[in-house]
Amino acid sequence: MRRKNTDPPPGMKITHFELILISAFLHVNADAGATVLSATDGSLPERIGETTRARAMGFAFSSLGDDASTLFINPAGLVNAKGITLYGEYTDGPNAYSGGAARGCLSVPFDRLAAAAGFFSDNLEGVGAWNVFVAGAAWRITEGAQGSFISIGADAMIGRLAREEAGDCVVCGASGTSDTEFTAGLGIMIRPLPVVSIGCSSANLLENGFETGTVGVRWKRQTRVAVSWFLQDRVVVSWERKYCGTRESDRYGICMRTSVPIELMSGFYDEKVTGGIRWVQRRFDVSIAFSPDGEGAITTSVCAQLFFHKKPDEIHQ
Amino acid sequence: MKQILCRSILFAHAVSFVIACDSGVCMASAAEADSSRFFHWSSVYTAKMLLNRADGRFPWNASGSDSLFADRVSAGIHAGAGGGLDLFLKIGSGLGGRATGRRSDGLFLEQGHIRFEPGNLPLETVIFIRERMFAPHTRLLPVISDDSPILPEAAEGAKIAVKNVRNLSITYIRCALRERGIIEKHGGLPVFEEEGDRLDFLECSARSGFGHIGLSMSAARSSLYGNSAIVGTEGSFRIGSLDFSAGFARSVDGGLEEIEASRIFDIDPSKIRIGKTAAAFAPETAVAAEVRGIEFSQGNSGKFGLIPSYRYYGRDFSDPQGEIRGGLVESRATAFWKHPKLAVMAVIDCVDRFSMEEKRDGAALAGYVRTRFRGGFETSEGIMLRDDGGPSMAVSMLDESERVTMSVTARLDNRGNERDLSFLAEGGLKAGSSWLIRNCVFLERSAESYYNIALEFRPGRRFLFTVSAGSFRPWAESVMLMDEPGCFNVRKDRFISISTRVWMGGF
Repeated sequence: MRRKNTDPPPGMKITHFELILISAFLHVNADAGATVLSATDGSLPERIGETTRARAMGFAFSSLGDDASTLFINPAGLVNAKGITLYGEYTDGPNAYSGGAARGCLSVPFDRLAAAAGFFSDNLEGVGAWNVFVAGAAWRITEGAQGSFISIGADAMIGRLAREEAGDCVVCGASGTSDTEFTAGLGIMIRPLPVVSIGCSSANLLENGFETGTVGVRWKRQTRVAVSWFLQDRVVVSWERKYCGTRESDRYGICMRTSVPIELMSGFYDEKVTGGIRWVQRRFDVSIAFSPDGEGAITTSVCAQLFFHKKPDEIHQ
Repeated sequence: MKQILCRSILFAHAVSFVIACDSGVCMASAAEADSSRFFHWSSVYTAKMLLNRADGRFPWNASGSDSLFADRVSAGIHAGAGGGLDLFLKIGSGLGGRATGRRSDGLFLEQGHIRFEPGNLPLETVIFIRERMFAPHTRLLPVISDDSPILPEAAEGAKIAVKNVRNLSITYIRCALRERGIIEKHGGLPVFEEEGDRLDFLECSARSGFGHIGLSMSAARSSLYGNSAIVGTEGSFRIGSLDFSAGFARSVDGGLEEIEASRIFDIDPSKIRIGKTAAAFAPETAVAAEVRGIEFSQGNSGKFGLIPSYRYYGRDFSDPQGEIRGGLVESRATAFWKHPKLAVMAVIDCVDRFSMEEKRDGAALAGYVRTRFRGGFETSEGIMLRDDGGPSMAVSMLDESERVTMSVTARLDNRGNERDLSFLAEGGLKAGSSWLIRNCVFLERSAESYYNIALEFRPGRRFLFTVSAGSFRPWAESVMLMDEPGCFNVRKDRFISISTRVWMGGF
């Protein structure tokens, strides 16, 4: 369900772009008179892309896409799944993630297609409870020798922000306000060689924001361009550049599969070090990751995947 | 008179060497049948450009033209004239002094020695310049050490040693301690003068199958650290596989003449109480004791062992010529279990430690398990419990293969209401036979993050090209997360470094 959006002030123009590579961004101003919370890094809207595996690798994940959580980052990566996968995740931290955030999704492959549906639930003090439902699909356009391919993906998101608030803006008898917005995202993944993968995605193409009572929360478009390099089924090195509003940041990640079924992961972004490990088994895998929030606290994330019907590839190349 | 004597000894050695060399035999290659006659040389040239980031008008500021380019060249020769006589000289330039950090512009003599060890006599005489002559790790009490505050890169002197004569060894070392400025002023050559800082060291030891006993005396005269004399004794006794070791040392301000014979072993057993053993020792003394060899092995159950030890460094124990820092009382018992077949080792360390320097007083219990799996994968887990603080846990994983190495270590310190996470990840990747990429990231106590990446090109044994950038230098700054209490000696300094090193010669 789509609520009335804020009309842009005179002189501003909203445009939409067909995404091939990098998109340009436009800001939508909120209504005059409303209080707007600045959507800075780490704020509510960007967390939807902070999955466990991505966190462990410094959030350089867009070109990797080797677990079901790629639905929230680059839907084109859904084609990498080799079987029905159920994914669950929980994230917690004393500052940024007070109250915890949960995520789940189910992905189902169909030959050269893949579909997935998921949800993300977060609660931020001072802003409200945010729930997002996502549905996505990916299509492997072409396949080549030794696992090379080109895939595209798209997702549709419905986000709802609810706040406890009182005042004239609140309907009589209600304890708060809420706003629901719809948006979409696109992604592409190219694997020209078995050793390299290129990914590009853009989330929240419509750049809809939330208005709940006197508070407006921007939901900025996020564009990612990433490259991953694979070495001998053991090592993955990734780089990603993320654009959000006027800010851009570089992320770096490395993952190494050991001789026992454990993956060691580490990453670096925005002067912060991240890390994690993943335990891979035939029917499931479990990951744990952490990252500093920049205020002296650590955000920890745990996720688990269950695989049905088919065992996933060793390194998902 | 002493100056004349020193110069005469040096002259005699030099003349002997020249006479032996005059026959030309010492210039022969190493292929000569007589291995005591040899000549080797080597040279190393390092060109280095260092850019340090500094706050200022420009994003990357060179810290100054003097330190932007830090070239260094060194050359050394090692020649043997036969008959137990050998000469070693090493000259260099661009060397930064460890004490002052200054760099030298010209060439000067960095290290050197003339050694004479006649084959038919258990005698060794050495005249040395800034070489490592003291071996602290062979002593239970490191009362003298090349890594002490006064000795690094400073000692010029002579050593006379009688080795293993009826299981008895005697060593005497006398050296002058030179300041950096004086070293550079004279081109690194030895300076014979009565005044100035000095160190005298005498050690006697007797060894047998039952153990050993030793006595050492050292007197240091330092304008920076004062005058300090230390008398110490150390011994060990062996029964079967058990080895009991103990050491005792006494320091006084001034020279050896300040030590009165009746006050060397200043121990009052009447003051010993349960939990207050250290009360029996005077504050100017240092005591250490250790028992090794308590081990038990049965069938395929592996080996169990126990190592109890005790150290007391009195708060007034002054040791500028060694590694002992006063104000330490430590009782420790280390129990271990090893199983070679399972590739597992477990260690439990119980420590009761008071340290004035670390400002710590309390007991701690630390347990570690190390396991090695197939394919070069290794894990280590540790937990540390303290009665004066919260617990800590550490986990480390290492995976090594022919081309890739990666290790991660995570440590969690519980400090009451707060928990600090520290994380260190290091990786190395061989890209081809000559290229190596290394990276390192470090998160310190949930607060500060550091990174470093380096690229090495090494096509052979004689050439190395390195490019390194980051916010810290993992090879120069110590980070030990598995130890108790953990070491975080890191300084944030953004930099880019490009260096080339070329080796020449036969060393």
